[in-house]
Amino acid sequence: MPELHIAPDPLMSPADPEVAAIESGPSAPTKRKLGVGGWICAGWLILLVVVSIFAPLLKADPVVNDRGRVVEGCGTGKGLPIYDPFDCRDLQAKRAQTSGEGSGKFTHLAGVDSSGRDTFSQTLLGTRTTLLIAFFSILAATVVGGLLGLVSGYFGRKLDIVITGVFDVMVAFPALVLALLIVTFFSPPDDPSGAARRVPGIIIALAIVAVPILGRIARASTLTWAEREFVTAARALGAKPFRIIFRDVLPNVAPAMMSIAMLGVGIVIVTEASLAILGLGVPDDTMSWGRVVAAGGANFRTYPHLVFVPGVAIVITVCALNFLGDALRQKFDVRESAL
Amino acid sequence: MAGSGTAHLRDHALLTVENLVVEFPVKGSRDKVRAVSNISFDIAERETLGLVGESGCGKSTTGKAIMQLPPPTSGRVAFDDVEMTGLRGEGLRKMRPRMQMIFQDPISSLNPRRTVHDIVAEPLRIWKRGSAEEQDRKVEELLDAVGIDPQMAKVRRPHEYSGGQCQRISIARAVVTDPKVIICDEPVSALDVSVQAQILNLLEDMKARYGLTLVFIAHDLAVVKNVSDRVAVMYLGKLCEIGPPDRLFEHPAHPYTRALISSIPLPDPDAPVTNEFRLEGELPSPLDPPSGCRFRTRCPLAQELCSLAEPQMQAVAEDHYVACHFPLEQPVAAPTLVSSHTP
Amino acid sequence: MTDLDERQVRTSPVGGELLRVEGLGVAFDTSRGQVHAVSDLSLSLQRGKTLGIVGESGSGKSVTSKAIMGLLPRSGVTKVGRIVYDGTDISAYGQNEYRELWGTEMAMVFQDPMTSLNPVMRIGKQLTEGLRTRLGMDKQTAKETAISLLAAVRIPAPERRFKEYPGRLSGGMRQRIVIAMALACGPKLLFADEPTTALDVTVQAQILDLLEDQQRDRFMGMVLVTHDLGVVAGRADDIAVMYAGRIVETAPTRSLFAHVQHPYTEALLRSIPKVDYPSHTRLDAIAGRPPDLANPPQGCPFAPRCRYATEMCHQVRPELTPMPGDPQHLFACHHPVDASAEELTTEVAEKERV
Repeated sequence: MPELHIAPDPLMSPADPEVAAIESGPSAPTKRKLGVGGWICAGWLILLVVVSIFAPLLKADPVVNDRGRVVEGCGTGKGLPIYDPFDCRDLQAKRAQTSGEGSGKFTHLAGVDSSGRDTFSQTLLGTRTTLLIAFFSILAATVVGGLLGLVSGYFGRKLDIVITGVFDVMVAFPALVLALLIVTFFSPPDDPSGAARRVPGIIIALAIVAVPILGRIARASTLTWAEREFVTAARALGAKPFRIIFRDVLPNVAPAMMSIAMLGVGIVIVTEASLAILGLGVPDDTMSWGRVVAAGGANFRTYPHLVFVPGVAIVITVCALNFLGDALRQKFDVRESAL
Repeated sequence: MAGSGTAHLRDHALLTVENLVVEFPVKGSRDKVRAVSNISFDIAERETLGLVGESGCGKSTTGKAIMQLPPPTSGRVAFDDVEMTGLRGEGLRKMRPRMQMIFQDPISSLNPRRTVHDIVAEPLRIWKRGSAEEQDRKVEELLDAVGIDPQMAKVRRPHEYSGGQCQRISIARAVVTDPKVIICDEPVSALDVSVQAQILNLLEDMKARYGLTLVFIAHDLAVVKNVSDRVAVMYLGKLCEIGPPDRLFEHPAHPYTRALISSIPLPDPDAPVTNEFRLEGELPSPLDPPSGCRFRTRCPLAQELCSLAEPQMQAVAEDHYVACHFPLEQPVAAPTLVSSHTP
Repeated sequence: MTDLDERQVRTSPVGGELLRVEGLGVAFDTSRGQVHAVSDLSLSLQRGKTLGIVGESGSGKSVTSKAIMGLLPRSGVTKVGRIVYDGTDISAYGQNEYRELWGTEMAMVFQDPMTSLNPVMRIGKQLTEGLRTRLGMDKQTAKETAISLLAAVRIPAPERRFKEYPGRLSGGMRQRIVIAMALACGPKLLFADEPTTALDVTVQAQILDLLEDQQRDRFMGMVLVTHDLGVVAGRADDIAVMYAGRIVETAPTRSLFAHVQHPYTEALLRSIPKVDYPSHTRLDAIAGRPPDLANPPQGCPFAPRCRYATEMCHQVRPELTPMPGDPQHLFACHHPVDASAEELTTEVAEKERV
């Protein structure tokens, strides 16, 4: 192939009109803004974090309901108007409330589940666990997957074949099945003492499922960047391979990974809900969005709106994450050919 | 064309390359293609060797092979009295600061995420040369020498500079470790013509100031002639001719060199357009090069001998060697030189 | 004469004016504001002649060809000025009208041969597509025409190539096919935008020869866009030198080189290494960079880099004026150089060696 020696013909020339024997400086840096959309999404996510920190503070004392189960969210009516928990001991009122009809007051707009718990307050409480699971599992997957992908892409050859093979095997398993297996392994549903291990188990399971996806992205991105001349230049300077990987390749691979990671957080939230519906969600004493969906899902035929609040929360969050991930990627995308 | 023969090698050269071979495996088959096939040359200290040829001739591959990036398939590279061939790992790495490289694409040879100051300082940091202040000072001195504002460089990234400026930054980075040899792989090909002159002048200045030895790889004959003390012409992985630029261009001994020179369009409307030495045909596939002399399929002077035997380097004039069975007439009777190099 | 040949000799007067451009301006909307890629450009081309447009990156030369051809992006672009092609005013033509012109009236050969051809379509199909849709040829006639075109561009074994994919071909071969495609429907006006920049110098000569032959045989008008003064010196009848979106000097080739007027042209000539310079000739580099076209300077765009610039040059932009001895030679400068290319390059060559 002939070597291309094209002098680029851009539509705009560099900004600096200053001319002297010594050229003084480059064009003014154009800082890409996050954009209105990006800030709205970031705002939503920040709101979620605030909720997850403060929601438990608004929790009323737990009460034992008529079936002997500890129910949270019920109480004596303290709290925000919308958060006003229904008095569980009033069975009749409870039945009326299950359909979500208010008693004239501005309460239980989202309905209550079969145990009488307010759906909206459940969702608020569940935010913390959901976010923790999503964040830590993706963090772990990014670190492990990213490392494997970088190493695999940079060194190539046998190491690459092995790691890619491992990824391929992992990806070949249906994600949910794999997650179920791992969760069951860590804390079987029958084992009451394993309940404490359930949440970590879910985190590990989802992390393992996400590793090959993030790893492949990292590898693909590494393959592109490792071919660039500045990497060859670094080798020519005598830099050691790991120095090159972490100082030259990684910062350029990171934006792509960050974008996929945010997407991954959204997927994990949904997967956590799937696990809950399948019965392997968080244990009884913990609340998560998935659990709310699962509980409401039992009455889905008659009262579909019970799934509504957590469902909407999940959808908005996933969309916000996707959009923000994309916006961040664009912001950090360094324009290389400004010529 | 040159199976080389090493008749043209000299003693006391700074960099000697002997019988260099670089092979690449071909995707999808077990064949290998010889991008560089048994070439030899040397460079004396403070000399600029211009390596010129068209696509597929193997000049860039040669440059990278000298740098051992990756190491050649076979052959010998001796630099500064050290045998580079066979050096691996740490031993090879320690040699790196002494031999540096400048690349064709100015923008992609710089890490887009680092500031320009960091990029130029990186070699000093890798090799822990001097204290932080000393490093900064050296970086500033070099950026100044290449015409980049050192203060701006501390906050700006490569994409905020033009191609010519990026190439200056590359030059600064290459010089910061005080190397003896710099291999320039098509350093001006991706630049505008008016910027080319800036960079060529800069390279000459840096060479004088820092006592450098350069290998200048390019496809543009006029550019190569301008910077070189000695020019080597390559074709399809082999060396055709090597000699001083003024003589080589005025009296080329190899038909390929002559064809190359006559193809250059001169910025002169009255210059005669000669089709006489125009090359016809296409480059043969490097996977299956012609037997004997590789140039014979397009050579107007080819004869039977050319398909049977590969020509070896022979002297046609003082310091002017050619690998051809029927070299072109030279105006001055070539004295038979005793080769100063004993292989 | 084949159908194609008949179409070549058409209604326009032999050697008449094929293309006239008046006051062309092109501006792009960008995040930094409007970038004026081309400003106030006028040119004229006769049938059978070659106009060479010379300029560097950012000079607007490619944008000019695309503007005339109607190949600019549809949104974010403002185009002004008058374009008259073969007697018809096409300034306001939209995509639909231009579609009638492309291929049969005007065609373009692009810079990068590696990406100009569709890699998943056979060569024959790429050639015959145009012939069948635009000229209404039947399959057999189209095939024969395509093969003869391939032969005309000197592709060996054209019948075999017809059935092949472009994948394995070298840059030179591909560019020939691109030329064949451009010429297939018999256009009268051909734009060649840096057709040989990506090719080796020996192949470059072949391709330029080919273009010249085809142009002569078909009596086409050709616009040859390049950054290489050497390429246009031997092949163009007239040359226009562009800088910062404007023509700064234009003249018949001989006149341009015999009486260089504009300092930019002079600077170009002085900064390019010539193969007949002695080695280590110190080149006269042009300091600085082209201006920012988002904020075009008030005066002469070349003033910041010009060695002859005065205060007036920074304030008042010079208009294109004819040279006293030669009305066809126009330049835009307050302090023209008026030297021959030979003098200038000899000066450079005879300077003290490094």
